[in-house]
Amino acid sequence: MKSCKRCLYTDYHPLNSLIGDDGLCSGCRIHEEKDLLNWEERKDKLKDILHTYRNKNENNYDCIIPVSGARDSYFIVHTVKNVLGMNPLLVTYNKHYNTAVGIRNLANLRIQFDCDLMTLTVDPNKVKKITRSTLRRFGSIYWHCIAGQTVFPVQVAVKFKIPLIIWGAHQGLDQVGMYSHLNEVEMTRKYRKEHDLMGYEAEDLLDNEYDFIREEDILPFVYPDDREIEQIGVRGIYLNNYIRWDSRTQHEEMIELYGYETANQNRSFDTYNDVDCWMYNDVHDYLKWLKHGYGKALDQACREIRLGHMSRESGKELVNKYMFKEPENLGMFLNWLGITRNAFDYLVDEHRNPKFWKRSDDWSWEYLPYLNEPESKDSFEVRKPYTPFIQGPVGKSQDDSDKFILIGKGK
Amino acid sequence: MFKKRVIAVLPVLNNIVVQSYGFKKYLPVGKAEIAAEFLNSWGIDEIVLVDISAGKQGRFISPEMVKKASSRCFTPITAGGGISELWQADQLIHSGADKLCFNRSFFENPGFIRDVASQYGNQCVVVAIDAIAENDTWRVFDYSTGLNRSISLEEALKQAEENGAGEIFLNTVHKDGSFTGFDIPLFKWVSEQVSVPVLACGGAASGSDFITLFNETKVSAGCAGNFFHFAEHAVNLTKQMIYKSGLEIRMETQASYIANQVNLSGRLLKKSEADLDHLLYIKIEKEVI
Amino acid sequence: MKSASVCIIDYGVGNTHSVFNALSYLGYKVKLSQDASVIEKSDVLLLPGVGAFEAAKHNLQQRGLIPVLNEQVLSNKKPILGICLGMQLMASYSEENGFFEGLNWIPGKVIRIAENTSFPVPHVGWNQLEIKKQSPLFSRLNNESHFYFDHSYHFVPENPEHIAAHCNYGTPLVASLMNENIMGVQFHPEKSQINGLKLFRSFVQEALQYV
Repeated sequence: MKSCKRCLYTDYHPLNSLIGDDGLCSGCRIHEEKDLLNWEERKDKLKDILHTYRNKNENNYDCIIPVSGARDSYFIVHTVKNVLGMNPLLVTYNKHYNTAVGIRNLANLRIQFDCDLMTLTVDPNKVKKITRSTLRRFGSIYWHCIAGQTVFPVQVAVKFKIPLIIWGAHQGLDQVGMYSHLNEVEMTRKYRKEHDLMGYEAEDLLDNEYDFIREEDILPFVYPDDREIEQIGVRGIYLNNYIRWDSRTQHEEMIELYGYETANQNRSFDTYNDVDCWMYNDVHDYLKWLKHGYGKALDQACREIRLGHMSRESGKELVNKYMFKEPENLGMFLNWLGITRNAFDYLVDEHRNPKFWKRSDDWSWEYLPYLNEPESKDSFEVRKPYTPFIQGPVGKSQDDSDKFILIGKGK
Repeated sequence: MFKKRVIAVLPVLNNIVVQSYGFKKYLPVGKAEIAAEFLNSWGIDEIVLVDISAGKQGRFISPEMVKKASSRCFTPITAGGGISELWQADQLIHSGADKLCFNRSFFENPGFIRDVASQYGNQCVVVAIDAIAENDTWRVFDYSTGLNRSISLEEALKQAEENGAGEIFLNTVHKDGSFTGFDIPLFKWVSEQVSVPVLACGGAASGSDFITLFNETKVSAGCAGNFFHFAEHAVNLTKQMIYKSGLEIRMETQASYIANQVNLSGRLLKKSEADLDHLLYIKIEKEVI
Repeated sequence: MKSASVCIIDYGVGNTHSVFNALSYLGYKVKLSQDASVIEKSDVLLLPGVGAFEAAKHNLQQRGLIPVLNEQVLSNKKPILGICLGMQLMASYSEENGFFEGLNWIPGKVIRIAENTSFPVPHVGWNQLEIKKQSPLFSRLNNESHFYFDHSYHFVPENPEHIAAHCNYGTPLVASLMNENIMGVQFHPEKSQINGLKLFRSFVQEALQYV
């Protein structure tokens, strides 16, 4: 496994990273565009696109913004509505693993921006059935979240005749430089199937032997037909093609302007991104570590290193600090799903990646490190010394703060 | 009526499909079988699947990968990359490749091409030549060394035809990933030199480039790699542009986009509000075969 | 008739994989076989083919397939569809790289497509049909349907009544033939996307009733 000389990625990455002869990974090379492109010009391009989608008759929304209340939700709505003057319909897929902070942030989002919000809450029994299957088949507890988050906006676009969907950052471009900013990549069903859903669309989960998943169980996750997409002219664009993306800085602006609430995370130093989920930086990230040899902390460290907010050494330290932590909320998850710890371990061991895990003599699991030293190091400039992420004041609400909240009250 | 073809090129590096820029820089895209699956549903006329690292690493394109790609794809696939022996050709044909593509092995041993043609028919043989612009002319590029070959382009084309090539796949190094349109003077000249079909590749950014190619040269097909991965239904939109310009192109996919508008860069434009309002009352029936 | 059993004749000449895929996708019970008993028990037969005539004919002979095929097809009138080289094998003879006798199920010859500067040889790409005769192959298709062709040699039947469809490539070329239960297509339905699938569906559903 070769290592990038600048960030912490190796050439093993689920989205496929390529390390060139110069020792830099494709993600770092594309990231360099951020300091070379004319962002004023690119913002103008964005304005031109939005202008053509603005409704003159005011009888429909101008666009759809998929939100979760966390991640880039605030920044996207702020940019699209307050800065660029569009009239968006917000849509959200209820991911079930909601924290009280997450519910408060989502409620706050709706209130601060004065927006209409449409939510899809799928019956927990269906979701649990599907999750039991995805856990068994490919070691994922997040399939339903990503499937729902990526399909619901498209379904709403088709049903309500709102063609434009505005997303934040394209993950493939952001992590492994799958596209150049100049490509202006847009949403495709192909990317969703391969990289978001690990090769499995809803129809691929139908099963009569183990999990008994039927058509009615997967109905909410079925992607609209090509002809419906064509008829409405659905198009999903990514703001990070037009705006120099820096998620930490953007978040801090949102904390300042709108009171976005932060929360400490178990397996990451980033207290902004995934505060809405009990699982993301916990059980889900633990599974990522088993399957891919590294966790989200590494992705986030690479992001900060590339932006000049952190040295490679600091990044390594942080990764080593967080990556080995046991999940704290596994009990909550097992209770919810209705399986025992033994069953969970059995299912999950099937998916441990032999590149990173092997049985030692006493039959326990031994980890073979992902992080390694590149042949030569980059002397990439750290533009400002690393400071820890903010931990802001904790809000209060009537929801329970120690379990998954299916539908919450917010404040 | 016989149609011009729109062909997708899938260059493969380390077993994943990549975007290619100037034969030097590569960006990872994903698995060949998913690319083939979606290109098929988008109505592509043909796929060229080439393993660009195989020859250099002393192996040939993986039959396993070809099998997976062809199992989801009901349109022809031409496979290439390091094929230098008949048993390799045999394995690939039996794994789902409809045609085989030869670059380095053609230049090193043209007789091998003749053997493949006599075993499988010349309609199964595609010779791939990489042309590169130099001063006022074009030379033949050798991707494995990064240098130009001594043979002239004219001679290479002649030999390809003489040795049984059914089609010539002509790529252009100076245009690769440039998004500045096809090298029209080159393809105009080449399509007059040979009497077998020519597949033109390099520099396409949207349907407009294909329109220019088909109007100004006699090539049988235009090929593109990178931009088909950029937007939903990029292939359908490309064909829509070609069709609307009056050229003969096959439009047989579910979503033809004939009722939609596209901008000059090939990206979709919004339908009018009146059209969208009207759609509130129309139902779409699913087609069952 | 989803329960119809289909046998793809396996005689070692390329790309049976794609034909198998297409028929499985349509939900049929498909077998790829050179076994006489399988051929005898199947409801319909497919004779695919990619490559050169000589090797194909040789393989058929070497595997002892000709007697059982003659019996099933000529005596028992079992529906059979020949694809590309498979259809060409049904001719009296072929001039590809020499002179080779065919199965003579549809009298005629296989000769090289004449050179023509506006229409380079091989005839490779998508072309439309001019349907001349009602055939179980075309019940879901029409003259607008495109199919993928890839050939340098074409079939010229003795009896023009056997021509089910032409295609236009400078001059008319035979695209499909039919002699009672014996059908053939010069193009590749397994590589012709939706139209190819429709053709296979029609063939399996209707050939049995037709015969």
